[in-house]
Amino acid sequence: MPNPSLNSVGKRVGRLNGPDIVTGRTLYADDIQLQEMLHGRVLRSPHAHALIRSIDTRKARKLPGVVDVITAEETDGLSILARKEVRYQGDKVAVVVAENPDIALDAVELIEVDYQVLGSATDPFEGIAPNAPVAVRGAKNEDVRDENGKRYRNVAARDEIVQGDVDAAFAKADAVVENIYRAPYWHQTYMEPNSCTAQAQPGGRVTLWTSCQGSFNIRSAVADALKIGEGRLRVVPLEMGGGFGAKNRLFCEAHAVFASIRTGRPVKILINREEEFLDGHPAPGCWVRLKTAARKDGSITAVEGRILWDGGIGGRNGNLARLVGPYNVPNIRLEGFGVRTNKPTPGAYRAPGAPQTAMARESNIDALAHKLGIDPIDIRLKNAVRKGDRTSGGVTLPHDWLANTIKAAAKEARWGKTGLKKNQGMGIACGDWQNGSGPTNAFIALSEDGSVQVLTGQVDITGLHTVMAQIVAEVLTVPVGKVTVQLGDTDKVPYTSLSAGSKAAYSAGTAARKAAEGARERLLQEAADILEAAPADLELKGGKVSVIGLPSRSVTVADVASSAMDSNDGPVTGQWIVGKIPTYPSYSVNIATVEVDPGTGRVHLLDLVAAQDVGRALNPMLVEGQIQGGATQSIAYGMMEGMIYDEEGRVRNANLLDYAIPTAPDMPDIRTVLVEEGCEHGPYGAKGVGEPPIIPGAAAVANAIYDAVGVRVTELPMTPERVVAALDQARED
Amino acid sequence: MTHDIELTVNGVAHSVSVEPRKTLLSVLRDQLHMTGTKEGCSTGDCGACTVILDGKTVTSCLVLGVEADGSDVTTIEGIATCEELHPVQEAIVEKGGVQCGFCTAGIIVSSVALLNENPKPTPDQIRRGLAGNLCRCTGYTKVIEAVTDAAKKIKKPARRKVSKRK
Ligand code: FES
Ligand code: FES
Repeated sequence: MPNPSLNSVGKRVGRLNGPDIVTGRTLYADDIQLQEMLHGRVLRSPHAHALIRSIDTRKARKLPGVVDVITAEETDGLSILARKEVRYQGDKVAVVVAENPDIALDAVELIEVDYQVLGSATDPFEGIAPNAPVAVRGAKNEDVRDENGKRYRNVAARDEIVQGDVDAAFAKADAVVENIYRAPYWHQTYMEPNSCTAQAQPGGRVTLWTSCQGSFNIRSAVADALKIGEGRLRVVPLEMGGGFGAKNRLFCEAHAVFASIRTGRPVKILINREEEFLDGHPAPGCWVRLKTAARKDGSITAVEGRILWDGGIGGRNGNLARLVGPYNVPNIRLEGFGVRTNKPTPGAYRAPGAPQTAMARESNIDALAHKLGIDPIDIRLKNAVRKGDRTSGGVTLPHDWLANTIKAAAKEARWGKTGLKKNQGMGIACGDWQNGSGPTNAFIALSEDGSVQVLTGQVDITGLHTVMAQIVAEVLTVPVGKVTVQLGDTDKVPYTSLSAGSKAAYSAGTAARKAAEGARERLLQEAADILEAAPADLELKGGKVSVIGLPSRSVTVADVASSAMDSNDGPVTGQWIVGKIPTYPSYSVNIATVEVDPGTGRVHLLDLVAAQDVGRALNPMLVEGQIQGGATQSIAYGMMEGMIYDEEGRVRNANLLDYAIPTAPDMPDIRTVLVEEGCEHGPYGAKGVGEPPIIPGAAAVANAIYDAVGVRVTELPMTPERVVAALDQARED
Repeated sequence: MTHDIELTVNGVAHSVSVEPRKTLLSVLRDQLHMTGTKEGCSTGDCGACTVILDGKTVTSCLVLGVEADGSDVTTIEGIATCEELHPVQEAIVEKGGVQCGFCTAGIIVSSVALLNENPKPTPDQIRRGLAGNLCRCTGYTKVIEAVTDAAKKIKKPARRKVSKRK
């Protein structure tokens, strides 16, 4: 719904830096090439779990062109390299610094490490068994017991939600569904492997160029890792070749900085694709047992279950409330464990934990609908959180956002009205996400020609700067093409939070609007002097300031900006710093249509409708693009993706051939529906957009498969083998 | 031990001394400092490093520098002049076919080559023509829209424009 009173906001504007990107001129982190630059390469553990008996670096050091070899011993008590224990395949053991990448690679192979291999835990279900191998020696774990009083292994964190009378609700239920779901580690697989370059300067400061979602976040993390002050570091963020949450955290930035300080020369460390898989920050897998109860009328009365998060060496736990999701459920008993496994600690991947939990929750709800003979759309509408309800995130909803998004999706997909053939089916699933907000900023200055320069510390991940330019153009009534937005590094702008959690456009968009309003006020004040009128009698329209009712007495923005350079108050500028802004949840609904070949188990995605409650689309084209991309990722988790670990805890598919992501022929056109009902706190009514699209896709495919062939596949990805196995199982039953 | 090779990149002749194990991708990026061509995997699986070599698209991470001796290479830097974008480039921006942009060089080079061979492809043919170019951000819908749109705008098969940039 474009708002007719707006000129720039709400328009389908192409990326402002698009021409640079499409001609190959935009610099990404690995494009940084400095004089005298050295190349670092990490020696990584080949074992999932082992003790290091000894490391011999003598041969590597002797190789011509090797400048430095760093092991834990050289790090003076820092924990950036494994000292005694390697805890996952890919754990960092040493860094070689050499004149070129080939020498570094050769030298890494000359380092001799004597390992004593230990037992490893790579599956959370097996990993908690009282007799399972200890994943991380000496790590502090929770004392949680099984029904026989035996202590579970490797449980790093535990939480629970207990509400109402669950047992009574199950006793009174008309239908109960209980299933076990599994999901594997899932890699973000951005196309740009991480690369960073550090340059130590005389005087002790270090500049770091890197691909990241937040320069200040990286600055704090490097400072923490190296135990130095943040002020010693300048982090320069570059155009980011995809992150999806992974680039919130460090890859080898601390190692590059450390190596540059030691060698006094710039050091680049490029992670290759295999290293990305072994030592990135993928989404966690999980094991879920979920039991859901409903009454005849479809109202969900109870949810009970346990989730074991595959938490890597950190044993990271997830958000338990996601198993309940955006529905009103009175009785809940849920328990969540963060289980340590011999894998890298998982990171964020768009709406962390939400796709995995949606798979379980939305499959169970679907099964209940089928048991009770209720339409899957109706059961969701019946239980959806509504206007006036309080969400698990603690906000009271002002609209029927979810219900309206479900209806919009159903309408677009012609739910119940399409003639499906044999072995074809349609499935629906929903997701919710409450975006964050965080410190950010916008600084605006007008040039003599009326062009507008904006500076922000907020990293652009999918068009944020274009949206900021649209907002500034809107307020100052100039064409978007007159506005440029620059990303400031940590020496140039105040602390800015991550571009993650769907908060960038929400927060930085607000900063841009407020800063532009400030500039507008200055502009009117300055024009008032020129036009000899009171600022209150002036209006700004179409790039001109004029006296209200006297359009002939006017002056252009350019003229005002130009004359301000010499005025008593100085140039026309505006600035705004955001701390936190209140937020609301937003909702996404996917309807997938699939065809299943019962002979081979192959699932073919025929159609996907992705509807999302976006508040207000600041740039519908960019919003649709984010939704299409997120939905594709979720569908891929549903049908083809997942990291595979062997018995020894080694990754078996650490390359893009074996870890296949969707190609163009794998996907249909994704049809998006934007539900725009406004959100009072976001800029122009916008909500966060980036996370919700990835939540429901996998579950929608699972439900479509059920609709097509009557079996429920409960393990991701739903590969042909698993579909065939489910069909075979159904025949036996 | 290095080999001296000669190759033409975007219409400009270069002689380069290359180590036998260096790929064409590395020659372009590290020795000729043309960093528009990207490395997403180095195993031939992502297509980010796609260039046109003697009229055919190749993944330059799988071509050795020495193999490119005597050949004619077009990279992303040679698709447009500074003033005028190629219709594919223009459409990718205007239709929202670019998000992070890391796959974009490869997608554009492959699309330009596809349209040279088949000026009026169907959406399905475009999808198949881009099967070797992974994009993680867009889900491809807007990429396909953009290439379809560009095809409409190109009257004749696209001419290769030579970059004025040195
Ligand atoms: S870098 Fe060449 S195909 Fe991926
Ligand atoms: S735009 Fe990011 S990979 Fe294609």
